[in-house]
Amino acid sequence: MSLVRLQDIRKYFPVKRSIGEVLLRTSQSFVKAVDGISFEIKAGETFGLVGESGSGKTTTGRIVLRLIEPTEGTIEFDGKDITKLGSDEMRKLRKDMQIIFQDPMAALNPYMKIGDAIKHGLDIHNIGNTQSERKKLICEMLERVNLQADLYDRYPHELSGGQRQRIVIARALILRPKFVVADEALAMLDVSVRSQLLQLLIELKKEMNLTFLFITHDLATTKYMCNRIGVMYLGKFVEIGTYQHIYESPMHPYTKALISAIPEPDPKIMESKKRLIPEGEVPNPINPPSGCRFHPRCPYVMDVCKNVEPPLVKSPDDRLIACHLYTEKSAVQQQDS
Amino acid sequence: MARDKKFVSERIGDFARDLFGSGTGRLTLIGSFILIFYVILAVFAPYIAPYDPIERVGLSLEPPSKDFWFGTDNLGRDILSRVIYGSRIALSISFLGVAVAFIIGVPLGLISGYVGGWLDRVLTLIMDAMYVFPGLILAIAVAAVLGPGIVNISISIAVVYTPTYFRVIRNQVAAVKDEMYVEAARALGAKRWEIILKYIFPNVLPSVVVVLSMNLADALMTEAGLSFLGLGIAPPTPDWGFDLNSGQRFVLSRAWWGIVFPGLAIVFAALGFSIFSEGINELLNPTIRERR
Amino acid sequence: MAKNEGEAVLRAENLKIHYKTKKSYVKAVDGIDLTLRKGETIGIVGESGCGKSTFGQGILKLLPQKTKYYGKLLVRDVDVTPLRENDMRKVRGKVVGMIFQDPMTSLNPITKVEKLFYETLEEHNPGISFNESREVTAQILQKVGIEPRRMREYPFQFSGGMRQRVMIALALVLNPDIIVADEPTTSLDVIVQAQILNLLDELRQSYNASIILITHDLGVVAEMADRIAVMYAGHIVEQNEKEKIYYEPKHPYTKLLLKSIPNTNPKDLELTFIPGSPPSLVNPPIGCRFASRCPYKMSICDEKEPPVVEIDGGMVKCWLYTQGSDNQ
Repeated sequence: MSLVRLQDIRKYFPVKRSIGEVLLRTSQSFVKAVDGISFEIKAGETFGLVGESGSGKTTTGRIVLRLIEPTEGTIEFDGKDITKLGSDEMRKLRKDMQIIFQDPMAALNPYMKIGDAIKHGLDIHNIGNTQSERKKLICEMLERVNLQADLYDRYPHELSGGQRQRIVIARALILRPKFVVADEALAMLDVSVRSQLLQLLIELKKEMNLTFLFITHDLATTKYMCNRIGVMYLGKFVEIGTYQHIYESPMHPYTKALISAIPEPDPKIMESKKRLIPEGEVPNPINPPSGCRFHPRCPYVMDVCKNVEPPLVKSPDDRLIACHLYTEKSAVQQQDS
Repeated sequence: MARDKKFVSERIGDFARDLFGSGTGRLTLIGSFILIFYVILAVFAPYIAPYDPIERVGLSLEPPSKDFWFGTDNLGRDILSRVIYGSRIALSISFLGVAVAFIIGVPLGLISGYVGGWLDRVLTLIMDAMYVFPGLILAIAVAAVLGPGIVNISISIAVVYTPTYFRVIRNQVAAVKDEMYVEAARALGAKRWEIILKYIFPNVLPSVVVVLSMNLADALMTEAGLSFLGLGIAPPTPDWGFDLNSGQRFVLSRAWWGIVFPGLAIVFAALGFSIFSEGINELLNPTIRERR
Repeated sequence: MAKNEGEAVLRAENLKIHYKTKKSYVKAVDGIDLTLRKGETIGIVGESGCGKSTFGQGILKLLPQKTKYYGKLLVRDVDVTPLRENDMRKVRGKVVGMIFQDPMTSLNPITKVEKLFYETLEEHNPGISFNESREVTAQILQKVGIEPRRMREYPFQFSGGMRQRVMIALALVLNPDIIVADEPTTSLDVIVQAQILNLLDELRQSYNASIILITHDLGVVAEMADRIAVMYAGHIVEQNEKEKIYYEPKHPYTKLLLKSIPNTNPKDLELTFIPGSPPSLVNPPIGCRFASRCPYKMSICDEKEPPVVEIDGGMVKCWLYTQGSDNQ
């Protein structure tokens, strides 16, 4: 059963025009951050979203929670279309859908004590009948994320980065949500702390039966958390599959490039690894390339790639892939069946 | 050895070192001494002043002497007493005026900055229109319409400074509202007013405190300016600006004391506020603090 | 791979760098020995707060005025620790070039790229004309993969990766012997990171420069470095050739650090991590600084600072290895 389902989601951010451009009536251009993506996350599943900056993965994470309104498309949560839900109803729903941010320092109000920051969610959703009951819940939660309960009266700047991220996790999970978006939740932490927190997230996911959208640029961490992984490039999915699909036998040329670029802590692997680093940079999302968006950088580019956008179709080994190298055949197969 | 707990004496020592050990700390201290001095003058004026400020107690235009330290004015009133009593008007009007500006400007700035859209554009337009007026001229216009009196003068001063608060707050809010902790509050399901009060207001407040102390100095000068022009408090209430005006008519008769002492009172009070605000600015601003 | 014969271009001898915060001195670098040879890349690895960036900035003395330096830091046989700001300026850029983590904040945003290069070139070659400077700039930009005509643009008009290329070109333009790269790719995406690392490696070979690569990412140094120095709480706890560090780590911290990195092997789903956190560098412990987190802790570890022991072609600062060396 799917807990979250996105259908044809698009998000275009208008580009600010200068006064000159307004006067000259230059047409409004848009950053196409997310440009037509659909996916669903089953209850209890962790869906990984990987891609470089500008791929639209962070925007997607915000849209799922309706912290950003999509330009087009529908969002379903728990079988209900929430795309047009009013703000009061949406607020109530937030108990069930939470987010863990990338930068724990920025995600905590510097003028709010740790305890109050966590308590605010309880106050909003009326969890716990009395103040002392709420305080008890918070202390339990602090201990669950391996912090001392006496941090209750401290301010965020008095804590280390790892401790702060534990607070952000506690604030999100004390509401007992069904669904959590983790947006680069481990990116800013040191190696050893990162593993500690990854372990914590895995444990909490089991204990609380959580469903995750795990957004990251670090493919290595998805292995421990994710049932499926979607690779995004310029606002679209290029490939969706399991960790084995993506990491061991990537099919899309972009996925291959991404995998080969990961620096591995092993000199021998690094030497033997055949580098498939594409030339150039991610193109401007205001005017993405025609056809397949990766075609200007793709080593296997064909004529069809320049004009026709490859659809995201199922491959024989049960992954989804958007590439003409594979679609020709599988598209035919699909039509046959 | 870990020294987690500090003795109180040590903490006081640290604080004192903060105050004396650095230029900014010393400035703040000097500024606050001047301020405290004036506040004491204002509060205890009847006990400090040697004479009644509105009674004729000597001859006209007597130069400073043992009896009249600052001399007397053209009506034979003791200038020292008038300067001491004058601090009451000066302080209460500048405090009141700035307070009114704060109470109006800050909430408007919060709402305008957070809500945005047409409301923001209209409010910004109005405030900018007020802001481009030279302060004193705007105050004169408002004071001329409202007439004299402590409250009216305070309002005309408030009109001058409201846009300052509005602008500072609005711009700060526009920056702060994109902070991730505000988004986090939205993700928790917080209501708009909660976000504004609990998450945005505390984060924009420090920048206003600085403006506040700076404006006090300015408001004091504006008040003096208004009463110098005769738009202030009705005579015979002692008022530095008014006394300055009546004193300047007799400078040609060599009665320099009629303008020097009220003038010095204004200058020192304004200086005190300025130094204090400068110091507060640096003490409150952690980035400047760290660099010391 | 062994390059122990090359001429030493940089040598730290019991170097200590203590910088001042409001109330106290942070002993960020607290007695390290390191030798960098011609054409060699040393990776300095450690977690945040271990002192690796302080060391990098200390080489150019870019730290605040009140920072204290002890010991020796020989840059081409000149001890820079007592040098004043004016003399340091001759070292910066000319002898040691620096590449910072965030090229957005370290390149003046309101100065055109050609002007940035002119300012640097003029500092060391007074009297160089703007046109001459632009010729040099064009050449170096070409080398780092930027079209020379883009020198008329401002830094903000470049993407993150391109900006880092500008930064690298700026560090190389005076042909320095040593390049200090402080987390040069941390703010970049993986593919751009790979591009930049390839570029750095190519340039190192063509310029025969030596690189000090400071990073928290053991994957980055696995590719780039010849030797690796692992820093923990202001000390270098282990240094050796790259392969030795990765396949035969000696120090318990190195071992645990390597284990705690999430690898990409799909079968290996076990997560290991180092419990606890590093000590404060204001009042570091008297014994071994890793002792409180070390699974092999002995009683002596809390009492005395471990000596640096030469072992297996490298060095390790740990009591576990002292017996062997004493016997020798």
